[in-house]
Amino acid sequence: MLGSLLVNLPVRHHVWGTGARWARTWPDDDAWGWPVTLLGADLPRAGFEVLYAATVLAAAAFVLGWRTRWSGVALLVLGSAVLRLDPLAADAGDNVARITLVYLCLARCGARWSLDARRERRRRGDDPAPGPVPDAWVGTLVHNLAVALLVFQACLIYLVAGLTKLVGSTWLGGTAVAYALGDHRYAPWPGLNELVVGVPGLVTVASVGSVALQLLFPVLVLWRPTRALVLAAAVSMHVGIAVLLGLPFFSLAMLSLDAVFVRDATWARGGALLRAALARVRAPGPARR
Amino acid sequence: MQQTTPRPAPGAGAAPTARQRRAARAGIAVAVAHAVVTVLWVGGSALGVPAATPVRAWVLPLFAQSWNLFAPDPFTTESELWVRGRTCDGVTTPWRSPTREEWSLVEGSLAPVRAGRLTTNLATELDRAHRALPEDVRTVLASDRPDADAWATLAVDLGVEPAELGTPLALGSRTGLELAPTAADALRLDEVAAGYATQHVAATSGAGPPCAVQTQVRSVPIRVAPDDPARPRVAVDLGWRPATTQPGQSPEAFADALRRWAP
Repeated sequence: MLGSLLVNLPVRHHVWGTGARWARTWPDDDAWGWPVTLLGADLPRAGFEVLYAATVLAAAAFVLGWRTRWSGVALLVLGSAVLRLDPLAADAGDNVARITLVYLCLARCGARWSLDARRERRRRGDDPAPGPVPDAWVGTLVHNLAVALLVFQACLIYLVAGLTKLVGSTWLGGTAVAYALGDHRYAPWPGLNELVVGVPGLVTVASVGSVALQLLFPVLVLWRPTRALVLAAAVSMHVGIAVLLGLPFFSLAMLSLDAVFVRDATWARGGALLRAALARVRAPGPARR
Repeated sequence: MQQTTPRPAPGAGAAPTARQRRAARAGIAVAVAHAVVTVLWVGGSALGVPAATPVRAWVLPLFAQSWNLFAPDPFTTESELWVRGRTCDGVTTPWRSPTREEWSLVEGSLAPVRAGRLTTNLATELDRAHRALPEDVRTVLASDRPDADAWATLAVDLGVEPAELGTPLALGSRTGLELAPTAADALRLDEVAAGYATQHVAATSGAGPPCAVQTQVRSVPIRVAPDDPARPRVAVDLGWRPATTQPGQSPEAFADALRRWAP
């Protein structure tokens, strides 16, 4: 969301602001209520500027893990207020980001790799054991349910995306990807797309392969031996979508949701490797000086 | 992200109390109910079945979703919006395609701005609504109504009740509200299109704000092979409408941005 807001900064008034009120039939009549509707299509230019800036700040705070409980809720309210102003500008990535954010507001996002976690560590000092926290089990219960719902949502997306493609003729027929790549609004590099379409067999493999991946994703990701493999396949598919179809923020939203399937221990190992690599890069520095 | 208890809760390892058991059962019940309702919504949207009112009330707007992306088949044609205007002195401006202008925002960009898809999406919605309507409705919408009462007289001619115009306008493919478009939907999209055309003509014609505008959607087959024919077809043909500006619309804000990609 942060990336999308920053990329669209130069065209914000045209897409959501006072330049976009020709589309106000949607925000005037949609299902949103208080407090999101307070920041609706009646906002003057200056009000919209404040809303947009506040949304960017909330997104940045949430990414850095600063007061995640509150920055998450603020981002949900403010981000929804901006995006609903013109649904013609929306894409499926907004749905992924918003729904994921709802669940993340219930999870303990500030527990690791965040400014919240750093503050907590400093507050505790050298004492590694947290003091007795009354009723911490409520937070744990809600966190675990939120994680379970994230898993459910990810599986639902892949399964439905796969099943609905079985109804059509072009996906299993092996031509669908060529049509998607030929659509101007999804072709930032038309020459590259033509090149991809020209490789014999690639379009067929990509069309059939993406349906297979989407259908099998829920099963393969929940079974430990195939998890890494199917996640690698999903990453490749989303990198392809990001570059060839020009939808980087949709891909990022899907990959952040997929990240729920990577275990705590794996993240910790990745973090340790990264720290070791950084230390190796830094170490020769002073010696050379 | 942790998939197990992130931090040992006090008393972890000890048997949960009766209160904790009850809370866990209630929490799981709520999560499962939410999951079931979500499946009903997504399934209904994929099958084109309208959701029951309680399902709709729970899902919208926070959990609105639809995952039939590029499904059942990707678009095999592209919808281009075309607009023109008429000044109050009766001078008609040439047809222009805002959609083709927006493509320049997508091409060569690693992270295309959303302004690059606005009118393709508007044209796609217009096309979807018109394809669902019988020929006689489309004929009425193709008639010229350049006067201020355009949409009121069109509503009468189409037999659309005022109450039908007050319901949320369905929008394909993203919210899951993919209900079959009605004549009322087409009428409201007609007014949205006139509002867009008014802004675009005012910003680009050099002749000042128009008195009347006209919109078309031209449908062009996507070429997947070099020898494919690409014959455009007028998919939506709307008659002349009065220039219309929604409350709060700033022609300057619209034009300032548009000038960057549509000189």
